[in-house]
Amino acid sequence: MGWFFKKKKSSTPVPLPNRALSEEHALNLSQKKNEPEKVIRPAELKAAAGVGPKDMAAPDPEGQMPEMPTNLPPAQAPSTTPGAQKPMRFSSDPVYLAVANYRKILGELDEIKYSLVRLGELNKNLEKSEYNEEKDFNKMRLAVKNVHDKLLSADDVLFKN
Amino acid sequence: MDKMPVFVKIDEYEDVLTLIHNIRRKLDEAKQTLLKINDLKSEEDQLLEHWQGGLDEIEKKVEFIDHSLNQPEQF
Repeated sequence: MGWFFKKKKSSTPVPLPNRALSEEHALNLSQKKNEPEKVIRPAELKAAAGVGPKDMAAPDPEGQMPEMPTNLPPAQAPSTTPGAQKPMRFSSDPVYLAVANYRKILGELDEIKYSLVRLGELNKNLEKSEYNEEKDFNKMRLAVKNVHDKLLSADDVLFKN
Repeated sequence: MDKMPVFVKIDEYEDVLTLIHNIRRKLDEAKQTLLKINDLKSEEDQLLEHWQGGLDEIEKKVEFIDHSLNQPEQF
């Protein structure tokens, strides 16, 4: 026996609860029980919609099209410029992000933090090497000045006698 | 139920976008500064090469003087 030939169970009607209206916790949807219901007549509805009895007349029995009004404003074509498009999202709407993407972003942020720490260390090393470079440059300048003075004194000794 | 997509609500989305924009601008500034530093470094390297050449020339001249003073018969 398959599903198609299975004998259907006989459904017994479910008994509805018999609850008295005067029950203590009964639902009370309307506070204005005693007020008479407002009845909207068809004439009132037509008047509210601005439709008179003339407008609701039956169509022409000969099947002719009614005349089009001539003083209609020209139709405007929808603008196709990209700047004129409405934004996809209102600024007040909440934005949701998939958890997988959110985790990826968190991982990227961690890597960025690590890179920044490494760059900070490199910066410290560069400052140190810059300081050493300056110190060595001063040493070299002093040495060259020394050589220059010695050469001048040798020149004096050799050519002034 | 395990494959149901789960979303995280992002508060202050506009602020996050502004922050990212600022970070990108700072990154561009850092790149420009690094380019300038590279230019300065290559200029400095050229000057150091000039220094090296000048020192080599002085060394040769000092050697010549030294030789000519110590062994005059060879010259």
